[in-house]
Amino acid sequence: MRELTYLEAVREAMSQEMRENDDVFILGEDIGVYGGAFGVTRGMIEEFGPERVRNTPISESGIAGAAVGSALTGMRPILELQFSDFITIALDQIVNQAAKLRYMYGGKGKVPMVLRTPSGSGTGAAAQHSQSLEAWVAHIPGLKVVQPSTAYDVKGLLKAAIDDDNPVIFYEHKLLYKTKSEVPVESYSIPLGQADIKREGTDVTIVATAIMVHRALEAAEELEKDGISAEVIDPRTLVPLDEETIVKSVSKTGRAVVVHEAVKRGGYGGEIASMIAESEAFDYMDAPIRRLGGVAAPIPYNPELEKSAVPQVPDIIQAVKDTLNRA
Amino acid sequence: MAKEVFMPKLSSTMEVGTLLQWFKEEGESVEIGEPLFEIMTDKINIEVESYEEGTLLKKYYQLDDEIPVNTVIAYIGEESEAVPKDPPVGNDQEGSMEERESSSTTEATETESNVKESQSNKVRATPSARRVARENEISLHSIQGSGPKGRIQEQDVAEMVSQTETKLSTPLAEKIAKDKGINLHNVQGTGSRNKITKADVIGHDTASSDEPERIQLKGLRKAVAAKMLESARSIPHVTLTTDVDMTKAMEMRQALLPIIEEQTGYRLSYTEIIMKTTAHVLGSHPYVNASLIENEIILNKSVHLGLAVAVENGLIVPSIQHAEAKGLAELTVMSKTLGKKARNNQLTPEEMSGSTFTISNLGMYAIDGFTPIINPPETAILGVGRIVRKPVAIDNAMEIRPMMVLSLSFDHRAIDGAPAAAFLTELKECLESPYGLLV
Amino acid sequence: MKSFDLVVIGGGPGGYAAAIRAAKLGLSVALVEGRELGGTCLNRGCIPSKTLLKHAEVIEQIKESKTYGITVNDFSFSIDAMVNRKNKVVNQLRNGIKGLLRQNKITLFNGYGTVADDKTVTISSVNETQKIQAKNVLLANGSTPFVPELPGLDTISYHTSDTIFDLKEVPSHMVIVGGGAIGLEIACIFNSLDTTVEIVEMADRILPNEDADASDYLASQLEKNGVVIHTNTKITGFRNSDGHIIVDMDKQGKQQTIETDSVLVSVGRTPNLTGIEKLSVQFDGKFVKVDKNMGTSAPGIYAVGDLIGGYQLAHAASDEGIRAINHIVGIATNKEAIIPRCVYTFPEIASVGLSESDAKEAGYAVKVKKVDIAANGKAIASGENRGFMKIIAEEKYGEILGVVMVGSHVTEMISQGTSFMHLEGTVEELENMVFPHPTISESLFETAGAWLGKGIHYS
Repeated sequence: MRELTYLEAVREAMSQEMRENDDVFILGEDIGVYGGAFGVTRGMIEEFGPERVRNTPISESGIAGAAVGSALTGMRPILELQFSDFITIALDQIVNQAAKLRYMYGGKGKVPMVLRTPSGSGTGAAAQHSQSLEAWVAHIPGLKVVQPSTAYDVKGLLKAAIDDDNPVIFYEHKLLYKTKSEVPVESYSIPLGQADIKREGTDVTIVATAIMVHRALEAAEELEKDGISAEVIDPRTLVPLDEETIVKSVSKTGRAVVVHEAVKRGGYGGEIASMIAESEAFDYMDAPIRRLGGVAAPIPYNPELEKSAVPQVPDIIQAVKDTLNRA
Repeated sequence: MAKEVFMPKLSSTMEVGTLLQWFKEEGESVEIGEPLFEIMTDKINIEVESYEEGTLLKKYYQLDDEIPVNTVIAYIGEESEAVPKDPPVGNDQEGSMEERESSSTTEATETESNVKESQSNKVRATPSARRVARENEISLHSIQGSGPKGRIQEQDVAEMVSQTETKLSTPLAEKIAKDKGINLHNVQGTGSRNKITKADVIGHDTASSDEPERIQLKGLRKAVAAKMLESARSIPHVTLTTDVDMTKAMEMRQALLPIIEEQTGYRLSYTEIIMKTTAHVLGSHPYVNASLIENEIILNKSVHLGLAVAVENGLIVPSIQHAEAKGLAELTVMSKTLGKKARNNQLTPEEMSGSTFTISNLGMYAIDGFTPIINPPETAILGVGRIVRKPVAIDNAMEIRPMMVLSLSFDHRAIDGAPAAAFLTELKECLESPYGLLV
Repeated sequence: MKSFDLVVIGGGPGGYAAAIRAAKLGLSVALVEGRELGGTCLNRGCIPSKTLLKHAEVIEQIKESKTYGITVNDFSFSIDAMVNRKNKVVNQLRNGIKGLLRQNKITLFNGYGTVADDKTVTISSVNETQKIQAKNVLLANGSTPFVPELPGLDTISYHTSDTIFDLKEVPSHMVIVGGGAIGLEIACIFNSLDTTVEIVEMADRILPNEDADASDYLASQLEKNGVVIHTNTKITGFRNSDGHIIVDMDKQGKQQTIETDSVLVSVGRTPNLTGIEKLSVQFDGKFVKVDKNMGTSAPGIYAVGDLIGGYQLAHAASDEGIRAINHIVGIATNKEAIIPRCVYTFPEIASVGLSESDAKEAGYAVKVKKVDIAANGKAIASGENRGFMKIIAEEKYGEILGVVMVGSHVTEMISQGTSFMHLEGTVEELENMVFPHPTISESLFETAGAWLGKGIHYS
């Protein structure tokens, strides 16, 4: 099968959907001729024209409000925010409008929109352009939250997000844009709320999101050399969360390490850990659940400090060994 | 107001005591001076008497629990008086912060369903370990945890389960194993479906008998080991020996034996004669009856004679206070009763401390001289050999005399050769003409 | 040249059992037999004697029928018909073995095999000679009756167990040389056929290798039935005189003679070395020397049965054969076999394990209990209450070291003792087990109870 980059997979998902469905259009800052901050929409304006690939003013609140409005009229907008950090400006539209309207209209109106936005650190973009704020939106009832980790996943999940009648916050990790994997040419959908076991194992379950999926897999390779068999689970969507897959895995291994890039304090890992502790997996736990997350500090600009602010492969290895009393 | 009963601190080295026995049940009345419980320290087993009177309201610990000193282990008070359900935490007045912290963490892991068990020792175990223990009806108390801070892991329980799993064995194999104290779990069976047969048990027995026996240094053995190492390492020992003609001492013993036996019921032995003589001579050699503590040489006024007693698994030194003031009859009674108490593990801490000079008697063996190790903080120790008839030159003639070797080890930091030699010489002379003691 | 994983020499219970087991374990097997299948046991030993003993037992029952209130007015027997029936029994069993060999695809060679060190076997029969190659050879040559060199023996006609079962006429008097199991069983047969039997034994008792109580008990029973037993007696010569045979003997220093019309020599058996004369295997006395896996000194060559001495019993040979096969295919046999021993006299004697004196010699603290079966309900009802049971056990653990049984049907009951020994049950378990009532086997339970000092009927 041919390989695509994560970035190309996002573009292909959108293009295929726009060819199929005239209601789908994209809007955002500089997404037209410039192709967007990371070049995701490059070439799309040539195919779909400025009506369906709409450049907007620099106003995240305006973009989001326009998207909510058009979704209510029956369109299926995809809006792009250049950096997920800027979601703060759009949050009133997202939290108080998009998330609430379908409920408040008693189901008579709906907001089928997708908010795509790159998140995460590692590019030297400093404190205001490197955050992982997915826990904020995951907290809001009415929003779905997706964090794909591979090119294959991103294409299928984006299709599912576009098809969904609820507002979906779709996080793309900046460092993943250039990663490649096999991606089918045809359009396909990965249901939201279905976790993926990225690697099977027996001794410990590592639940990792986004870029951390890849670090967890790398750690698992290393751990295997020490005879430790790690299972790596990528939830893929935080809301809805595939609890069953996680609980089943932890029941099997008896140990869980939850890893994300977002700051550990108040991070979504706390939600996953609590869910495990409350589940029937509890009786199978043979070690306390470990959480790994970013340090409680702004992401530094210095590249070395930037790295040390978020979990790296050796951190995951160490945490796994700790839970196995093999430190 | 109910009064606490503490785990006593019986020596400066005692950190924990192991509870061996309760003499009273909860609800029973207790008098002052009545034995309340028995504990084992690193040195001795001892019965602890009650300092209070009233009703034993609450016992917090069970047999074989190791309890830090100064921990509240029980309450005595008025009947129906309320006392805490759990032992008060942080009552170890001398305990370190660390100890306090660990006991309060233990507190936090208590489960209500298990209050009775957990009162004594709460178990740290993972949920999975608990589940497997529950499923297999195994008590977590019987399991040694391999996880951090002794946490019981699932694996630990699984191992215990497999250990308690019944292995196939023939009735004869079982009987032989039981008789020889062999755990069938460790025996590999060669019969049908790996059934353990007689030959397997006997094979295992002979195979394991080639293995050296390994004994953990603990309790008294460990205390003796530490003390001996400390003494040998820190004290510059010098040992002097001399031959003593015991003719007169023997005559004296012959004469006094029936008298003392009639008076006390105990038979006078040479040990007491040597003790008496030593105590007497030490009076004029205060440097030898000294203690060296840090930078001070303490010249003791009284002679408290330590008597090394071999007991099962070690060595104990009961001490006879003011030996210089005691007659042979009293010394005989004391040395016999203390020796017996030492062997029966019944010595009180007072009876085991405070000696200023020790005598170690190996005269019952075919031993002449040896190099005894000083019992610090004392500065000298006397080794007594056997009495053996030997030819000696007396006034240009050869005579057969009952001879005995005395070996004096002394701490050269406190005592020099000349005063030590003078002491030993006078001791020898005194034993050779023991009637001088009467003077 | 045909080649086989295993070539077995001899089709007796040592050879054919091993051949079948080997075939079942996947080896290609050839069996070489010069005579009839089944060996001595089937053709000239166990089976013929048991057949005729059954005949004798029927005669005994008819003789005793009056005791049971049954009158048999007249009866007679025909030795020809008896021998005929014996031959039928033997034939049936022989065909059974033949069928088993065929079923297990074992190649049968009729002829005498000569084994060479390179494990080639030359088979010569009347018509032809052929050579086959073996990877492993199992020697199960068996044995022949041992005939000692006694003065005058060559001048008279005498029987051995090879010929006695094909007798045409019942002799009126018979001298049996040797009071071992074979001689005694034949004595019982002819005693029932109204032959006057005299047994001559050199040792101080019959069955000198068996439990002394058992042999004494049997001697008294035989004598009660009219068998004359000469112990401590040595044959000094045989003479022909006037159509009779005169046996001269030295009975404890006294010269005696017996006039008889038949002599049976049954003083033991000697290994049959036909076909292995050139083989470089080591010997232990007259027997082939083997290790615990039945391997001889020649690699790949195994020997079992009467050829290697030991118990010289059919079931011992079969067990040895199976051990040899296990070793060839690499199955470990850890435990030493416990071989029961049966003598089918009237009454029967069955024993297993160590005798009291052997057990003491082996260093055990031995405690022995013997319980008579005179008071056993089933035995009394059957008129078979002659005999006893005996348990020889180690005192501390109650390990059962040996069991001796004397009485009717005890050869069927000894396996209970063997089972306990094999499975390492102790006297306690034996006493704990429930035995059916009324049975003669209850006596074993009684013995165990008595051994433990808590017997119900005996103490």
